[in-house]
Amino acid sequence: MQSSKLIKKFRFLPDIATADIAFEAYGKDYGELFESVGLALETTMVSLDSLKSLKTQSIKLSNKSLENLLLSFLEELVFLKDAEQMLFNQIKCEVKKSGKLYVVNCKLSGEKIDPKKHKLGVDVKAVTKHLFSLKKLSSASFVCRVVLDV
Amino acid sequence: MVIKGSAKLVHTMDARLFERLTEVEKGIWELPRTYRKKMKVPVRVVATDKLLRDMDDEAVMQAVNVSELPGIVEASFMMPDAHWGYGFPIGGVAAFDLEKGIISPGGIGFDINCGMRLLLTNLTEKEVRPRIEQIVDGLFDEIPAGVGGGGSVRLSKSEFKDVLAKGAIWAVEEGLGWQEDLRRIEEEGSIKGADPEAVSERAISRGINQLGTLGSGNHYLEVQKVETIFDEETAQEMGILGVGQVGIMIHCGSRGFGHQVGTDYLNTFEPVMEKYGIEVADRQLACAPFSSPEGKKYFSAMAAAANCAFCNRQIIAHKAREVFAHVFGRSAEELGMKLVYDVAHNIAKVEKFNLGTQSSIIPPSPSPRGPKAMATKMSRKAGKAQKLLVHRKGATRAYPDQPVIIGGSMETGSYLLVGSEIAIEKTFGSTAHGSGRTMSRTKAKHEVRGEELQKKMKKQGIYVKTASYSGLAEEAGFAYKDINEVVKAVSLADISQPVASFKPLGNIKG
Repeated sequence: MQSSKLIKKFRFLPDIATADIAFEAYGKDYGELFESVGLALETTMVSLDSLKSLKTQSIKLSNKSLENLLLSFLEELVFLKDAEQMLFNQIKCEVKKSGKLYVVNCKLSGEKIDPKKHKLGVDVKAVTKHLFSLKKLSSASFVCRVVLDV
Repeated sequence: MVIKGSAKLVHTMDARLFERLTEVEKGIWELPRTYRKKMKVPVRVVATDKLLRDMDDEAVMQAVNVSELPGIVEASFMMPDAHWGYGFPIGGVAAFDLEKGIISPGGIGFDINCGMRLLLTNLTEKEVRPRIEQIVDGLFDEIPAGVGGGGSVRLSKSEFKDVLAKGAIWAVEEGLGWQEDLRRIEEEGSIKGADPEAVSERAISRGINQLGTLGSGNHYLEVQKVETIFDEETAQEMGILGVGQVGIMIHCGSRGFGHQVGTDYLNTFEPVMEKYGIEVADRQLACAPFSSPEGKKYFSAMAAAANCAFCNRQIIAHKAREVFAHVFGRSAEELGMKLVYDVAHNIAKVEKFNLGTQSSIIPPSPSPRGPKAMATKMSRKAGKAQKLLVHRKGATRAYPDQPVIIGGSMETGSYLLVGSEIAIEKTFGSTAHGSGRTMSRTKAKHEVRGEELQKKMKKQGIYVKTASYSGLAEEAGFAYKDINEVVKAVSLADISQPVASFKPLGNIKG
């Protein structure tokens, strides 16, 4: 997976949330949608081109609601940025329904923050629920809007 | 309503909304509780005519949402620098009855106890300017800034819990500050009732390595000079010797720890509102009764995060003292690096007020200007006081005689003010906190590149080091309201008065 391909699957929204960052991300299925929102969040914090995929880690999350699963997935990425100082430029997700739960299995690749090497952006404090939406655009694509507190 | 100008977006208030606001007192405008059916109290906006006309109507609607919350007392306030925030507007103040009222993370912000700290030196611009690059480079090396930003203080989990319980006191006990600093911090740098056990393991993991770090966004450390003195006597009492004197201003908060506490409790509160019969107009206003188990637990966790922030700013100030001492070859004591004040602007606190027109306050802690000032204040407090939970989100406490620090954009400078008895009577002892954004970050980045801005600022005599050029561009002066107009507004309403203004010489930002 090339991060450059995925960069095109989200766009920042300049007229929403004056003091913060808003974006819209797209995917042809839930897995790709999660990848796009994840990369949009990482792009807020770092220029993905300046990051290498030196370390890989996996996360697995589940939730009854797909929306809450996506929010907790983003919260996990924010958590890993502070707790483990990790930023990611490659994100591969698989989202499945297991009984009543939605489950995301995710493989993340990236490296530890190094201000001397990485072109850093703005620190994300929190993933908000303000204007959050996850919609089906057509049978072949989904869109999600997120506002980040920075 | 948003009007697109040549360089920036300018908000202007919707004409129909503007017409509903009446100037009830000098510089204080009221939107009556009849504006919307569920309002329990009116909305009051502190503003000049110009700032009111430019106020973002979405932020006013957020203040209307706040006015509908259970147990709100007197009014839902907006300070002149108010703008849109999550749930509450930034620049919002609301006091709640302890029994009938609520506590809301959205009324405090994710960055719990984000605040301002001002230190002075006995150095002048003439002495500092030739060494500004050495100073700023030294500060940049010693005080990590930017995304993630791990600090140099390494603690065990139990030591970190001590920080959460004690706040700035912990740092002073560890030799990272002076005993006299504590007297000059809101609540003496330690909010009582903090419970390290009320916070999640995730919050601890996010914050344990971040003490002594600035973060990013609008956070900064600035080396400044006194530009203008407005009130000679008060300035002198606060340690300002004259124009050109150099100080250090710090703007930051509780870092990842506080952000996680906010995230955790917003998630906790959302599902419990139904149990308590609370309906809110916006998910980000999720709240719980202050007297409920959930409300009490959040208050204890928030107090722990507030203490983390007090300690963080204390450690940053200590590092700044070390850098100055190193550059000038004199101790921080010899350089007169005294703390003027440290004040929170994202917090909820239990404070006592006399309700009604004769309201006044019983100071909860000694006045920063010494026991004499406190005794004078105490002797004037004869009425029966009621404890309230005051939320200040992007708003500063402004008690009589208390220094108030209002940070401007990197380019425009900042103000030191003094609180007033009028603030106690009119705004639950609160005033503005900054200049307030008017342009989105994404837009600002399209207007200017960080590298260009850095060069432009250098030409203006401001040497900047940044961990992020895009982050620097986002903080350009044109993205903010005019700080002079904000100060004019708080002065007009007499909720605080300017003491001195400061201009930057150097700046580090994340």
